[in-house]
Amino acid sequence: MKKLMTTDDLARDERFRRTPVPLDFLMAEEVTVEQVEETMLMLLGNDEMRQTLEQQSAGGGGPNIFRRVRPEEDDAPVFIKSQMHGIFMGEMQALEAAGRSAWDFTDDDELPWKFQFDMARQCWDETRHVETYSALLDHVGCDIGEFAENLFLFEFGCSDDPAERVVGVNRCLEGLALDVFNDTIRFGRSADDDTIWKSVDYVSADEVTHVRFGQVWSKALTADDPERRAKIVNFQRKVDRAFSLGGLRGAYDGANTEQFLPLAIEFRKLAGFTDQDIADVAGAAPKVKGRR
Amino acid sequence: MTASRSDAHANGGGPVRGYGPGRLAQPFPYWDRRRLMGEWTVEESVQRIVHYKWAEQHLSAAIGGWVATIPELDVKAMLGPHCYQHAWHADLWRQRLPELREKDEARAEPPNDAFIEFMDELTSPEAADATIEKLVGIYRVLVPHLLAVYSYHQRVTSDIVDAPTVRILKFMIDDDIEQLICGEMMVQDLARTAKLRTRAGKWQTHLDVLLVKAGGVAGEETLGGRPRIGMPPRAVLGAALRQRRQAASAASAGGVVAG
Ligand SMILES: [Fe+2]
Ligand SMILES: [Fe+2]
Repeated sequence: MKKLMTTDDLARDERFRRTPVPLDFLMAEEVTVEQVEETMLMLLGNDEMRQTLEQQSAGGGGPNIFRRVRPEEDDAPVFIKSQMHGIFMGEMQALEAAGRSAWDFTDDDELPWKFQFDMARQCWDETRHVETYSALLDHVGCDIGEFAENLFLFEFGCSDDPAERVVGVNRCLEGLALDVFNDTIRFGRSADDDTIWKSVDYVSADEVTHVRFGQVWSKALTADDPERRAKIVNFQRKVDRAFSLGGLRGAYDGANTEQFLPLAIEFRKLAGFTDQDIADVAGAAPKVKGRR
Repeated sequence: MTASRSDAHANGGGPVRGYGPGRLAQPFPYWDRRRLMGEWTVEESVQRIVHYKWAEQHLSAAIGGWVATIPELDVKAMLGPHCYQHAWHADLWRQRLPELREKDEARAEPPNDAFIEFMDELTSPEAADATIEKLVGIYRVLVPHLLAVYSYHQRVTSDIVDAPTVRILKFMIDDDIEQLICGEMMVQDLARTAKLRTRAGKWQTHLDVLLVKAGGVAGEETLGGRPRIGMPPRAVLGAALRQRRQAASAASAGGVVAG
């Protein structure tokens, strides 16, 4: 089996369709609101979702992807389906990325065995998340493949440097996952839906451990190597930028209950984020021009 | 039967067949009967675990302490591995705590004062001729209690989202079953007189009564709850069945799939 696989090589069954990874958009210094909307539709949308958003636009005020959807709203079913399907795909790629990280560096004599051990543990944990989200998709009436798959998660987890791997996947991506789960838990609680919030609560607890792996390994692997450290920090900035989803996430404030996906500050701190780390993530978004 | 969503789509448990990309499976094999929903939230799990951990730590310490007080060499030697096993169980709980968002992995707390009193009494025998009381406390009272509670926990927590707990419980239950057997063999072999059997029985009842006053290793709520065996939906009969069949035949005549 070869080392270092690319997103093109990921094995899927016939239900899955792919959308291109919008790398230029994700890395831009400045984006427009229209670009954000367009990209999000491409990433999260299916026909039902597009229709919903078009109806909102026709009603004036633009689509509501910038604000949080409440469970009792008409759009809630399609939004939760889209979100859960996105996370389901993310968990699957996280599972694959953890498995690859266990395999790809077996020839690296510098890398402690504990790294492989942690990745193997993560492989098990992500499997549970795939299972949980598959069950939750059923719960909200969504089928696997109902939305397209975007591979930008795995894209940032393909690096040949294990330190970049854990920064991309464990710190940035799973940090984003903490924010999403926090949001889903609130959604489930306000919908009085125990199945959603109680199961995502456990998934979120697992994710804290993974983000911690990322914090620990990125520091340990670069401790005596300032050059590598600088390279990693640079990579981290890029990925933080990409995962700000073109600034879509708006105000990064855990107390914010209106806007889309605020930072889960408490969970991130539990996972080892310092105030500076949190400020870095919050400041990573590009400038967004146009109406909000 | 009406074509429900789950019949119409592979995702909802429809037939899964074939090999390769044409096999439209869920991430579970179709014989999988685990449950997504369990008895406790993350916080409630942590609360139980810190009680389990307290009991395991104290039991391990007491077993270690008793080794030097027991003249019977075969009993002495039996306690060594069990001292370690309970320490290992406490350590498995220690590792599980941060995975459940508990910041302080050293946390270990008795559920209430009555449980402390129970443990004080259980660990009180000291004299060299009190081997029978020491063994009864471990192998006829606390270890069977832990076995019952751990088995209960394993059966009611989610076997999907809380699978790591289910897995470590498997190791603990395995150890505890072996301990129960070894301990009971030893009690039966040592207590071959009516007088010793009476002592064993009396001490067991005495400790058991203290234990029940505490509720158990996790306090009042150690065991219990409402039964919730997974059941298919209620029977549909009479008019309701007639209506459902009429609706189904109307739907299939119209070429519409319900759902
Ligand atoms: Fe995950
Ligand atoms: Fe993860």
